[in-house]
Amino acid sequence: MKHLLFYLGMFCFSFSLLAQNQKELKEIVILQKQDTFSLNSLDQQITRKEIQAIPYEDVGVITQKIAGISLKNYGGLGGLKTFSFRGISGNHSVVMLNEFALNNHQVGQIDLGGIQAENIENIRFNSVSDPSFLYPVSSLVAANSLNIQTFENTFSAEKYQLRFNSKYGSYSQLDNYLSLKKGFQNKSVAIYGKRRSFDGAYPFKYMNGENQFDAIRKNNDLLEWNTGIHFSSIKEYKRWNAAYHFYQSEKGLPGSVIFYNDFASQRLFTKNHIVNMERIVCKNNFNSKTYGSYQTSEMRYSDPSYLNNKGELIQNYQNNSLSVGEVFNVNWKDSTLDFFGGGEYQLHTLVSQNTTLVYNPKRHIGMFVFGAKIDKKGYLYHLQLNNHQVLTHKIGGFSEYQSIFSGNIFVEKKSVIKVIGLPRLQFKRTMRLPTFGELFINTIYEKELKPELVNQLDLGTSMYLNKFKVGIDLYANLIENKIVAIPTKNLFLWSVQNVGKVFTQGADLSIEHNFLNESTISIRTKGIYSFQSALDYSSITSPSYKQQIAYIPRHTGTLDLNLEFYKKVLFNWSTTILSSRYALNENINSNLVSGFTLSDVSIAYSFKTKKQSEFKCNFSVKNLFNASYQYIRYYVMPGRNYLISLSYAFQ
Amino acid sequence: MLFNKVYLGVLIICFIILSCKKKNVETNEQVLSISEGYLVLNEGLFNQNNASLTWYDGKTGNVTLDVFQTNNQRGLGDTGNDMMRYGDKIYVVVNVSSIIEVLDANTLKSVKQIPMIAGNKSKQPRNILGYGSNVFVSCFDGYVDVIDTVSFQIIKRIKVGDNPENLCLLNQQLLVANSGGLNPPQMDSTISIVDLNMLSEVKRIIVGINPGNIIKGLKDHVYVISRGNYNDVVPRWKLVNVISGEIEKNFNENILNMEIFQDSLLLINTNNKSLSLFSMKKNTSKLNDFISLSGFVNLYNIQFLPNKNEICITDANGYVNQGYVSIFDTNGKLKEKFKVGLNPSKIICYE
Repeated sequence: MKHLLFYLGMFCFSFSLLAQNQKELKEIVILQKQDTFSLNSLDQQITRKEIQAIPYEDVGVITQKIAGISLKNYGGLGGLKTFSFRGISGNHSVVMLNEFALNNHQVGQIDLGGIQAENIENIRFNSVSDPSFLYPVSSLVAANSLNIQTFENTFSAEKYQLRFNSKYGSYSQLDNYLSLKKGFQNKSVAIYGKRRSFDGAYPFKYMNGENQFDAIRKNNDLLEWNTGIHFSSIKEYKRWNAAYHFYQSEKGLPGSVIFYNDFASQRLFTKNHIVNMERIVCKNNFNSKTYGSYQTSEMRYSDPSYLNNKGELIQNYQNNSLSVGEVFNVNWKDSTLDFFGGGEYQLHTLVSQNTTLVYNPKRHIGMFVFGAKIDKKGYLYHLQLNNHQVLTHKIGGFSEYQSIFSGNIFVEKKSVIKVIGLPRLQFKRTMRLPTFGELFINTIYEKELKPELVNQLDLGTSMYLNKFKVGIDLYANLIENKIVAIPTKNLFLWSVQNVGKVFTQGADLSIEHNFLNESTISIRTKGIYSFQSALDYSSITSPSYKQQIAYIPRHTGTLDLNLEFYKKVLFNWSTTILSSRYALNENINSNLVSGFTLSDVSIAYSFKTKKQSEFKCNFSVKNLFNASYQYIRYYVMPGRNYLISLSYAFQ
Repeated sequence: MLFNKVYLGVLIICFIILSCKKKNVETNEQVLSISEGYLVLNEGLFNQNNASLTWYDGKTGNVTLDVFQTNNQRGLGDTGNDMMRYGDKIYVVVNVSSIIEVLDANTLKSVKQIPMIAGNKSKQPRNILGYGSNVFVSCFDGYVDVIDTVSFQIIKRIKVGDNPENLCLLNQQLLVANSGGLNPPQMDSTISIVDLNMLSEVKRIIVGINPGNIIKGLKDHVYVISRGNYNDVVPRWKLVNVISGEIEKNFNENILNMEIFQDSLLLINTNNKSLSLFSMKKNTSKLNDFISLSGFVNLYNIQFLPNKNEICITDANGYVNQGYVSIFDTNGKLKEKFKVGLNPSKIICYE
């Protein structure tokens, strides 16, 4: 009833806006990011059109279309989804929503399964920190960044815009999304809401020894809400943005399939508030952005099967993050030299109740970046130096101070060299701090824990071969001081130590072909293949020495085929391939997780009216061949399932 | 245009080939015969369903890493916690799967799988001990379950303390260490005494926070390790008089595990690198001088096999890799060393 009233209210508001007379708008200069060549694995982009063509469920699934990314998917809809890039864990990545970093210092990774995808305009993955984007400093100093740009955040001169999407799918999946945007002379306001529910009781198959068993996933339901409001103002050379996002979810945690025991009953309640503000100035040769963000995330974990005296375990966590910063780039006297820099202050706190944490940690971080971009003699040079100033409060009133330097150098040819194409070379050294979860495990403060360091070397090129766009990258990464949790005296007492060392070598290959006949058909095909040899060099005496690290597949690939007929009917076939992986670092048969090939198909019909409205109907079959597969061992995924989607867009 | 048509055709064929994966499900019904050797329970890792039984053939020296799966075509389950031979049966306690797997000791074929579920909750069985026509299983939900060895039915649930773990027999009484490990920082600190005729708890004795291992001593005594709270209360081991309920001696050593060895106790110090020998008669201990522990990565368990006069030491080898079992004679001479599964704990000797 509550959500019915919510949608009624949204609809009434939207149609009252649409009924008003449209006024002519003054031409507004919109600050936009420049697109770069698409098949560069250091700067990859997925557009709205590509996203709309695949039967996505959240951002996590979409990231598989990025070369070099390995998704860790702990279940279908609503399941935890994190990623690693070329063997580098997601803790080294910054996930941004509309160029604001999402923070979680407790675990250090963002659950991509909780980020809605209906309103995405594009997703951009950067391993080269381009200062012209004016991304926050925290993303410039990270190993890589993933930015999700939403419809609500894009400024539009249109007086009214509306987006509506409704989905109904297998296992009682019901999604409804509505967004309204109203433009004024030089301002716009957008409001959106989404509700998603799913009973998650999907049938699955799993192997126990040599026998295959059938079962139904239990305790896998999901109910979540997303809502928010955006304000945007553009005046001459300045732009202001302010946004508020709210997310709430309640979901069952089915966990891994446990042989002979399917009584999982754990639940997770999450409530997030995000407030973002930014001011962008683009004047003459000087661009700058001042930004601030406050995020709070409440999480309640309950386990009614826990065998303590209370008969239930309830743990509460509250993560709070504040960040303020300034980033700029300036062109030096109309020359080919640009300077860029910035600083950001972050404050992170974690408050917990009924957990093993006996201390509520707090951390202050200062991040600074300074660099230059030189465009000379057909080459683009990018030099950058970073510094982290970190103050972590310890138990007993003591504090630990750290100062860490990092940086990167990037060279790119700006004009095509015959046969070679557009070559590029990058060396980047970055780090990540230990998370609160790693520092305060089992009530013990891991005082010796150092930051985990990543060195990335990439040599790549982009070229045209006949009618194909091709991107090739060869890379080598070295992860030092890798933070690893290991049991100490027994399996109940764990310690987190800097004992890991991983050396990764690999290659990314992207090929794209477009055939366009304006009046009848357009065909787009895109294939991505990644090879990753991520070997454990931690200890020469370890059985896993020089063996592939857990859950990094050697081979991954995607193949997408889009056929569009008369700009009305769109057919999409998407195939994802993952080779076998190991569940533990020791590469033995008993740790092997089978590879899989997954195919999704969808067909969509869309038409536009004279009043600038577009209707679209989409039918998708996910896991067309009903493959039995798992990303993470015993986290079973659904078999063949269906999804119907209806969309309406005005303007 | 021809190029595009050919290209499209090739592409569609590629998609179809990539999407069709032949399922290879082979069955292997071979059963390994069991005669002389060692059966090892490997605990596996939490939520990985990789508890296993390894068979070491004493005649050939061959190792079958997962003999349970070989002989039963299915996995043992998640987190094997304890194992014992009782009569012609092997009982395996599988904690997270919450089952007791009963095997024929001669074939290692499953005879019965006993689900340990109360209502909709797993009982989480921990340890097992046999007496008379019953076996007793401590369950983390605060009970000791009594299982009839003929019908394999649970005939009674005996209420004890919080999160009971190790069991031992003394004077026709069952002693249960109540760890209370799931109630930090207010863990249990008692052992329950269960009358084996009445099948009910008759007494509790306070022995110190978080009791774990419990071993029969001389006369009316037991040795108990209270493991502390993993924070400011350190582990201690104690000599307890069960009749008087008194702690007769507090020992200062930080002991992880202990095992009875003739009229002595083998004590593993928590740094995992020292082994002490404690004389129960003289009440004195000395550092082990007959077994070198330098080659062990993560000493995990120690077990004395009285019928063969052998000492078995298991090595968890980093906890996430296959482990090892080393077998020594009573003079400390290494007799055998073989690779096993993840986190090897209990060993049964076949003669």
